[in-house]
Amino acid sequence: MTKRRGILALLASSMVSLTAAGHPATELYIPIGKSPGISHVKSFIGRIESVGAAQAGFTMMVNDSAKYVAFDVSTKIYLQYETPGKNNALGRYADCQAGRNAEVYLADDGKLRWIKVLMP
Amino acid sequence: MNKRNSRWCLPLVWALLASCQTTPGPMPEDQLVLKGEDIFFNETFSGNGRTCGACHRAEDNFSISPAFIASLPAGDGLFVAETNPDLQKNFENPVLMRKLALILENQDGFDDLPDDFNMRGVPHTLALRTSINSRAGPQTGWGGDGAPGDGSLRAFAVGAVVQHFPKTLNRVAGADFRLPTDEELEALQAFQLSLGRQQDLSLPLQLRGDIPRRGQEIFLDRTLGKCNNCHFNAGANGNPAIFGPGAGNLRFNTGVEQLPDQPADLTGEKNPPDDGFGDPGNGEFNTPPLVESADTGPFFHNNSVETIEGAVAFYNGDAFTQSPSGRLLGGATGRAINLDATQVVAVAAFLRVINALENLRASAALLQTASAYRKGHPRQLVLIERAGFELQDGIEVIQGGGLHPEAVADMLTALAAVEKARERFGRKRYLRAAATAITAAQDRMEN
Repeated sequence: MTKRRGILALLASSMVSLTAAGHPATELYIPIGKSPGISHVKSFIGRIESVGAAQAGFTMMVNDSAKYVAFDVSTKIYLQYETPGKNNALGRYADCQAGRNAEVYLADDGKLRWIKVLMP
Repeated sequence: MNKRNSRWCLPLVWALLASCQTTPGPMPEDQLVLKGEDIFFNETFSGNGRTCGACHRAEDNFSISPAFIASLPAGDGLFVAETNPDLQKNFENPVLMRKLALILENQDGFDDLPDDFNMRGVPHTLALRTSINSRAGPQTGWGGDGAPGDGSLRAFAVGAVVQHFPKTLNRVAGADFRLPTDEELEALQAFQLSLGRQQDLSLPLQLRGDIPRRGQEIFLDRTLGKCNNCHFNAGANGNPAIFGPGAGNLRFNTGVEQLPDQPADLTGEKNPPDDGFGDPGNGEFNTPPLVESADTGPFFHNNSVETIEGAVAFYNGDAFTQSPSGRLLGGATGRAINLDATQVVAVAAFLRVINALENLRASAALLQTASAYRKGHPRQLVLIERAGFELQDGIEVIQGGGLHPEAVADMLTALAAVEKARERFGRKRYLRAAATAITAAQDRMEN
């Protein structure tokens, strides 16, 4: 491989290093269980059972089995409210509380892309 | 009529009536595509009145330009920010929409509406089958990340409804809009994939005309135009000889955001920098197909360049040369792109010709499909009208470059025949005449 070809190949590899993650912004307003191509395919929905300290993660009950979800600093947290008139909003790790229902999307690269938490 | 005669007559009348009944006949178009088309142009998803077709106009190459916007009535769904009090702030910028056909996007989030937004043009939805796949997954919208969910074209409509269709900025599903159903998403995807080219060209073409032919040479020359590296076969995909087989659509930071004197900035309206792919963005935008470029300006994600010649010349300038992609390309090939004016015009002439050839191909295909419907079917008129749009575009694209006057004459003949074919009487004859003139125009531009 020539030097020039090598540089172009490097350019090529740099162009595809980031996977298409989907428009993260509009995901905020998509209700739990309705994310196209993700909900019921790549995500799981359940109840938060227990929360770990130091933003490490939490355990969810999904179809009667416990599943540990490791938190990532880049994970988006979206809040969806049951109370009429309260709008969806960005959340924090502290919003992931035991007893709340949530949907989590673990991407193919193993990263926890987002969590949608159902708030009162 | 006596009783005896009527006994013989009635069966005869029934037989005659039966023969006059219109049989459904074969449907020349895919039913899912037609369903998708109906949703695309008519479904508002219980939102503010917009449809997908509000911005992606069939009359304007499934995009929208300032000239087209100027022709719309004040009550058009595009202008909801001017008519719906709940959408007057932070939903659109009517000045930039009307002057430059820019649409407001909150691709980095909705938590700071007054300051965190970008103004982007409307990308056309032609040739999507050839232009959105990549090793990194589907690349939709200008940044490659236009869709929520799994990022697919199928999911794109959901994000579009959330962004562009709400009645209020609360954006509550079920109140401000409804989400498309799975069936609607399937149909919308099928329709969008049916639009335009279904496969890439195979360059070089045997073009007639010295200037377009030279433009093609420059386009393909790895040391001169270098265009074919990233726009392989004038499409939207990376050259497999450089980027590997199946690289598909790629994203680059080409420095468009660094252009001086951008039209949106010159208006004095607020126009925050656009960081492209991701949140926060990395400055990259995906590669658009070039075959459809000449009739879908203004160019680039921010509609910053009006003409195809200007878009080609962009790659000569400092904004590109000093960009991450420009520096890498310059380093890899020994020097930056440096075309003289005649060469810029030649490349643009090549792009004009392949665009017009695509207009003619599309027009002929539309007319052929129209002919396959039974006489008088209402779908015929829709297809004939669209064939006329394609011909009109082809004429403007070729005339705009001062190219192939004989082909323009043929296209005008075809357009006149298409206009006549819109009337029911003699439709078949005029459709045949249009097809003949289209073939003649094609022969003028390509061997």
